[in-house]
Amino acid sequence: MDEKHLDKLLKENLTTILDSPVDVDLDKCWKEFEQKLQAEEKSKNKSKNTKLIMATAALIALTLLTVPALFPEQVTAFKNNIFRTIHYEDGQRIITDKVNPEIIEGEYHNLTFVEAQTLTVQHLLYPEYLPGGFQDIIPQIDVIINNAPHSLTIISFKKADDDFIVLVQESRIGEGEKRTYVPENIEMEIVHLLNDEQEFLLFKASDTVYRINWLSDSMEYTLTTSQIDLDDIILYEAVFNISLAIFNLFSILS
Amino acid sequence: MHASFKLLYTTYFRKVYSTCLFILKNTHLAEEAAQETFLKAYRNMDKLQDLEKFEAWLKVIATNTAIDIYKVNKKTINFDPNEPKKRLEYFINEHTLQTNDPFIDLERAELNKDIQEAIHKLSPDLQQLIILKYYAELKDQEIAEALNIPLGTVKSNLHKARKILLRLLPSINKDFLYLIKEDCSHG
Repeated sequence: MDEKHLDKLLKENLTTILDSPVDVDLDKCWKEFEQKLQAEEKSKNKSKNTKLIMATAALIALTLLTVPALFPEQVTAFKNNIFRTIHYEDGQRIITDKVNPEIIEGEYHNLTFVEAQTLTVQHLLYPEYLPGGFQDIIPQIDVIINNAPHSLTIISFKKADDDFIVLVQESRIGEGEKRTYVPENIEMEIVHLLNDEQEFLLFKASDTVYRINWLSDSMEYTLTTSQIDLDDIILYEAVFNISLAIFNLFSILS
Repeated sequence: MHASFKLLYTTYFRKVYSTCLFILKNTHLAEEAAQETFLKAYRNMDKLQDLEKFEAWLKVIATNTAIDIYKVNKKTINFDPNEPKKRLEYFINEHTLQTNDPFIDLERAELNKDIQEAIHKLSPDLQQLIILKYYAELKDQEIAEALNIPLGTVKSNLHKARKILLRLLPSINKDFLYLIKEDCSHG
């Protein structure tokens, strides 16, 4: 065997063996890691690497985006903290005020939608229509609150590893700026719709994976789909009545 | 911020753990090494110059950490004989039934098994080089910079590792090597 063949075999061999499944409890490991980190941070000042970590996370995990986002309008009046959100239901504009909500930081998994809503100060959205095969799937709903009232809500409908719909809803507080590095190989469009009132960022990660991101009413929304026909995307009623807009957006890149 | 790092952690933990396990062959030490790897990564994010190289950077930290832990524990290290075997079985399954010829599949599986066993016989330092070269896909110069050793040392140690592997793989069926050669010339 010459070295060229050995090189090929070693590469194949190591990639397969080191990428093969391993029996580890990722949640447990993360909790232990977080505890170590917190212990370390208590003894030091807060990490100065925050922005780098966030940028790398955005680049690697999302391969795509994250954009500056606002947060629910907070007002303090007569010692009350009021969080105001404005949203639409059936074409009706609704103003919701949450006064002195009890927010307990933590990570909450496998929630119902109602449970998720009670944990967060913002008005959460739920897809009103799902394309074929997804209707019967009970979504996994997780809420992460690390810096209240900032929260991250993830609603995942998953048929298989490569067949999913994920809606991420995020509010942020106390962050002045956040940068996102969009890799060159990701197609991106900035589109204004709804009489130019709404700006959307549309990303095409591959032939089958699309991501659409937009800001509205102090929230950042990110909808990611995979293995879904473009025709199905028109049926999304995830947010407002923008299904047609989303369809048009996807048509641009298709 | 923890949420952002969690994204990195959950994306790469299994790969890092696998890499450490490959060197340490002990699940407890591998977990310890993987956790330490992420702590080091967290502390040193400002030293990462190219964000796109995060994964390769992490693998360098992982192999260094695993070797450090190996050195501390080498006299008392408890080799887990089942772990490489379990992973070998998975590997063999993955690489079997790639053709319609059971003979070729069997030969290929045997060859992969031999290679795995040969790599495991290398010293941890040479295993690290092999991992960085073929798994992290770093160039020799990048390995030298990452490990802070001269380029000549990287080249000579890689040469040494290849020579050992070739010596450990003498019993490969010559007919099967023709198939591999054809694969290479087509690929």
